[in-house]
Amino acid sequence: MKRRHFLASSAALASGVHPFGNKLIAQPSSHYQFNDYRAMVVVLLGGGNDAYNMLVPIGDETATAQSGSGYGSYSQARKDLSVKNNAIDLDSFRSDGRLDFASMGNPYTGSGFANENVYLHGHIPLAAKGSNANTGLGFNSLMPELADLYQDGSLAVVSNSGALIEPVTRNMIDRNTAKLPNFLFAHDHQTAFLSSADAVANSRTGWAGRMADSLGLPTKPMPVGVSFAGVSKMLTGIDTRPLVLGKSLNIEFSAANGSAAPEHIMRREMLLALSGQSGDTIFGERIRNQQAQQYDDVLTLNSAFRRAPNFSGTQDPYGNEYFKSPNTAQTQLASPVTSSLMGQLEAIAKAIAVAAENPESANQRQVYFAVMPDFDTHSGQADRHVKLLRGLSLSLWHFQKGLEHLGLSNNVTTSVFSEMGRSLTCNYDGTDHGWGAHQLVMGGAVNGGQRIGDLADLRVGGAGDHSSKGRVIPSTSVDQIHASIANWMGLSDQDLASVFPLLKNFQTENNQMSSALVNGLMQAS
Amino acid sequence: MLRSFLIIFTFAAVASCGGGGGGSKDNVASTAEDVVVSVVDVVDKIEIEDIVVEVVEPVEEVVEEVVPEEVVEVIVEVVEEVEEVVEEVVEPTLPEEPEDLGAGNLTFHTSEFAAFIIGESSNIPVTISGLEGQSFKVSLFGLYPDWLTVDEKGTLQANAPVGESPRLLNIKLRVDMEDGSYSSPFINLPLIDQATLQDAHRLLRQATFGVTEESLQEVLVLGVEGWIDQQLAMPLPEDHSADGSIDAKTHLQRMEEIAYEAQPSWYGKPDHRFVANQNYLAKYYQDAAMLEKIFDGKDQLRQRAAYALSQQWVVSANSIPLSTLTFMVADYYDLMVKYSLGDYRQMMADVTLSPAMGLYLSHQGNRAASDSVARPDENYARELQQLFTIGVYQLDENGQAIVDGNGQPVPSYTQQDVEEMARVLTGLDLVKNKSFGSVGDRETDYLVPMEFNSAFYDSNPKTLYGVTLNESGTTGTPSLDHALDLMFEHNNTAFVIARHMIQRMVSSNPTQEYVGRVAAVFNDDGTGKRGNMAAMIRALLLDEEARGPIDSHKGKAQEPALLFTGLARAFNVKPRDGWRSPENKEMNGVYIYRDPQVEYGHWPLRSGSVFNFYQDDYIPMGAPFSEVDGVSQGESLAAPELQLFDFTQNIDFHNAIYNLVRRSVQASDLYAGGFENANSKLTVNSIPLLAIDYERVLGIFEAAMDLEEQADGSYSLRDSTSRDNNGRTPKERGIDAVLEYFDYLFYAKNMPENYRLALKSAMHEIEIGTEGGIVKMVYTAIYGLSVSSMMREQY
Repeated sequence: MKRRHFLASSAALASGVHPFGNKLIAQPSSHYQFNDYRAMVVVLLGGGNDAYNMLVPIGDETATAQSGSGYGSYSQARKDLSVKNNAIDLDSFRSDGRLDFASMGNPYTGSGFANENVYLHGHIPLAAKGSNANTGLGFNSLMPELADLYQDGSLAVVSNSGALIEPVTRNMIDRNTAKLPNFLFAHDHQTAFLSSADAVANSRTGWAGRMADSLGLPTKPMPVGVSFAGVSKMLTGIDTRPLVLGKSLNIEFSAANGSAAPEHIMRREMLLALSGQSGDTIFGERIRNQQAQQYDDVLTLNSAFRRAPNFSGTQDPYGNEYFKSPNTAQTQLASPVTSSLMGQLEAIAKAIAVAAENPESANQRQVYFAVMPDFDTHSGQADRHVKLLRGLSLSLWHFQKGLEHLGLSNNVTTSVFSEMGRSLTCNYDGTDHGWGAHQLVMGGAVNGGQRIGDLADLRVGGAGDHSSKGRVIPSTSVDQIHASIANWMGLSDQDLASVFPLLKNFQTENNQMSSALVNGLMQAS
Repeated sequence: MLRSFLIIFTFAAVASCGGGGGGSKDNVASTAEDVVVSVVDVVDKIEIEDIVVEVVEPVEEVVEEVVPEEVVEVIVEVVEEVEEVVEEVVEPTLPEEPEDLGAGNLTFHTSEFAAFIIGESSNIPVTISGLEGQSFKVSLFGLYPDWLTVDEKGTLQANAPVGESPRLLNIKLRVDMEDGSYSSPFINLPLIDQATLQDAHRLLRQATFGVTEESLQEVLVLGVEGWIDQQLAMPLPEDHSADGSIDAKTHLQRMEEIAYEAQPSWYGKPDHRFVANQNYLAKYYQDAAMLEKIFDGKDQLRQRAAYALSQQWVVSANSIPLSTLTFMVADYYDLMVKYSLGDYRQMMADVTLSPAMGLYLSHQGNRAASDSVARPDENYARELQQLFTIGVYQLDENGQAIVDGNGQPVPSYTQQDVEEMARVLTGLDLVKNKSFGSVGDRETDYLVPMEFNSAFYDSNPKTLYGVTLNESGTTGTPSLDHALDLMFEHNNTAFVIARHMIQRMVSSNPTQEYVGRVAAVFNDDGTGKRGNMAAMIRALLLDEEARGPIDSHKGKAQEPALLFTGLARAFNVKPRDGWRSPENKEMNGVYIYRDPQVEYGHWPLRSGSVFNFYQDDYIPMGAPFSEVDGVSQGESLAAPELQLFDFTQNIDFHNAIYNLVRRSVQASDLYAGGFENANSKLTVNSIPLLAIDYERVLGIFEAAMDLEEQADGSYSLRDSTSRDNNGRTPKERGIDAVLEYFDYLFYAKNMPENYRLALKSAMHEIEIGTEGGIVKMVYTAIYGLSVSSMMREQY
């Protein structure tokens, strides 16, 4: 076939698809009407976060009749990688009711600068402000900010959650009657499973993308899905796909910035003209279509982002402005905390502020996606996980406080999860791929200050173990949590069923989709 | 540069003449004398002066030193053909050439890159100097094919029908003026077969880091198969004669040289290469070596295949601790280079024992279960099976996934196999480590294969895929050889590697048959040997699916890194010299481009995870990749590289390219406004410390402008008013000539007219009279075409 001349005849190719979700056919009018702005921020801890050293099992096993969910079972499996059962009182790091490390010191210090000592130093028991409730878990003392948010009621913990098709027990697994996600302990498969929220391993859409499809909102330059972690399956729907942004929010073509300068006009016209020519292949054609659309949308977005707010005048527990990383003198850690998440969350806070104020160019229901990588701590965990947990805690606190500063904390709910947990058993200096973990849910609309869900039996080879390596069977599915937040966003029960096709497997009452939601997680809207 | 390009057309011309001309009244080579003349003409052009007198003598010795051996062969063939023709064409049966009128003061010129395409209509203006404002009329003179016409202004219009043979056309024009009639000397214009040119382009985009004039001509001379075989025969650095060239050095050697040159007091102590935290510049030296190989290495196929292989057997310096141990990463990449055309089974062993993989996927220092260790690390054990060899699903003999009674694909390994393999991989550690499994000791030898320490080995029996492993191996751990054999000989492995390499080099969506044909060569290279990567790559590139008719649904998107390297290679990228190293050494000849993965979204050895930059099965949503039924498993098309193509990456890419083309001007003395003459102020922090070289393109532009009225001295380069016989100003001629060149170099003489117009009007907007006007036109066009969608696909 002769190059180039055949594509013009292909109507299918010429139609193209809008990168922000133009429908191929006329858009149906949505049955959703929203008068307020709400966003959901999904943070994936990539690589498999060790939830057991983030939220240490501190229950007294003798008192709970050897349930297996206490510190004894944990430390028996974890051996040298166990966090010490050393409870730390967060109040002693507060002054005037707020965290103040600048004058009170860090809760995790006292054992020297070595990362390993800091890592295993102790924990801050989960207790809502003024409560002595024994929740059985304590934040690693590296995460005082999360304990602070928990006590203030902005953060909830859904314990022992993970990737599930249906509720399963050890007994079902042993008898081979359990439906399990394919390749349970492989990162890519579990990430894909949780993104699609569908047992069909290769489902091409993600739950947030289907949610955007279901909302059926008109297409805007800032669509429902916004990813700070590249092209994401989770945010891809049939008719909608995410806008991909970078944490700098710099979306200006330096050669053609949209200004009236003659050379910028000349180059912009050149780019527009070049993007009007069909390619030889479907690949070039896809690039051309998206490029042509982007040359248009970029001007709107760029001018909106230039008006994004900043956080000058704010102060975190170290006395720094929000979204500034503390230095090593402040953290007293052996190496700097470099959290790739902090920059993403800063950009998300700004983008949310822009979107909430610009309903004409932004959908008023949005899902943001961020990824914090490097949690795959097979080796050197004591050194590596320190920086990750410290960075995670700081980043989430800055984000929540940043949203409060912007007056948007009640409009945003953040979910923090990982594609897999880690094995309770250690492999000398690290841990391997596990299954169940704990999920964090944060925001002004969350019923915070509570732990929801079961505490698993942590005995290796016991009733809570997939086999014999401490890969814990989850009891709440990640889908149930995300569906609960989607419900807060306003998604109808009927749409919940199509967005989360596995959700029905978790219903406790027949044909009551709401009975599959995590009870009491979100405040009534 | 043009030499072999012209030679091949001459060869073709001679061959067609020997065939009797097919009824065409070509004047080309119509007599034996003409044939010789045209050979001489060509030889003249290729600047081998002596050859003119040597045509009838043995030519080997004359040209041996001037051109590579392969080209000599062609010339010899040409000469031999000429001799045959001399014998055959004794009686002239064709019409006679009219008597030459002489050219008078007229000179005739066409663009250096103008050519007629068989099967397409094309116009080539001939610029005639010396008309001095007189009225004139141009016509064709003498013998010419009947599909060739000229308008009265001198624009040749050709419509060579399919079936014409590629050859060099020798055309004469007649000019009737007030003061008399003149005829031109032969104007040589190639009649080319666009398909051949296009296939050469296609091959170079599949198998190199970017098309260059030189490589294009190599393929045209050697043919696709000949070029591949020449590339496959190129020696590894260790087998290369030590001629000081980049081809004679490994990535590691070159990185070490650069590091030592820049920081002799630090890197003069070899153990300092592995002191973390003090080594933050080392990754730039590693990239500098990588860029040298990519830009200047002759062994392009090997390097490109290594890049492809490194996207399967992933190791990344975007990870702790390798980010500060990049010498190990360079050493690892040398394994990829060695085995991309080498023995796959040997690679499996070498990678398993390589310190870089040992640290990256953490089987270094892996221990058998004990009181303090619950069980061995499963990291490499899992990915070795899942990603590197057998893949997740059991395949049948055709490479099709086997399904169970419920229609579900059958996994090719179990969690138990992962755990067993983790036990195989116990007891391996870096040589001279102070304590088993530690990382960061200065005494440790980080560049030799890991060694076996039986004290930490799990010697209990192990079973993999139902086979009990023997413990009598000699590589690494006692059970490793047997375990690797099982994976190497597993039915899946050939399909997995064949598919991966095809996707990285040729097509995102190869047919199962194509994968099967390539996998078959992996399983048996024809001599009964399994795992011969050179044979597999050869089969992969020569397959009908790589070479056959172009199909809009085949091919692939090109990733940003290759777009950058393609641009740099096409324009003869050069290092910026004279910058100062951290130890204040003056640095020359080193490409520094800090963290290209930031601008391009990815870079060799900088993957975000072991899952590479993109997924092999990434399917973009929407037609034609994925039907609108989003959940079904119907027909779908993958586009892995498009996973990198998003809103923000696209902007970053545009801006990186614009930065490069603009800074390249400032790096040269072309642009008075931005000339940075104080190069000694440049440091490793000035990016990029490399520049594309505009000399070639500017030469073409200026040559096209210069063509008229040089004799009387009144002509000015900046004069935009004087017009040629075709009504074009010097500026327009320059623009046309440069676009002809881009058409040849980037579009295989198939640039869409819309593209040409878009670039032309942008260039035309730029004032030629201003300082740097010409170079601005040139870099504006380069920017435009570099970011355009057509440059970002491989057909």
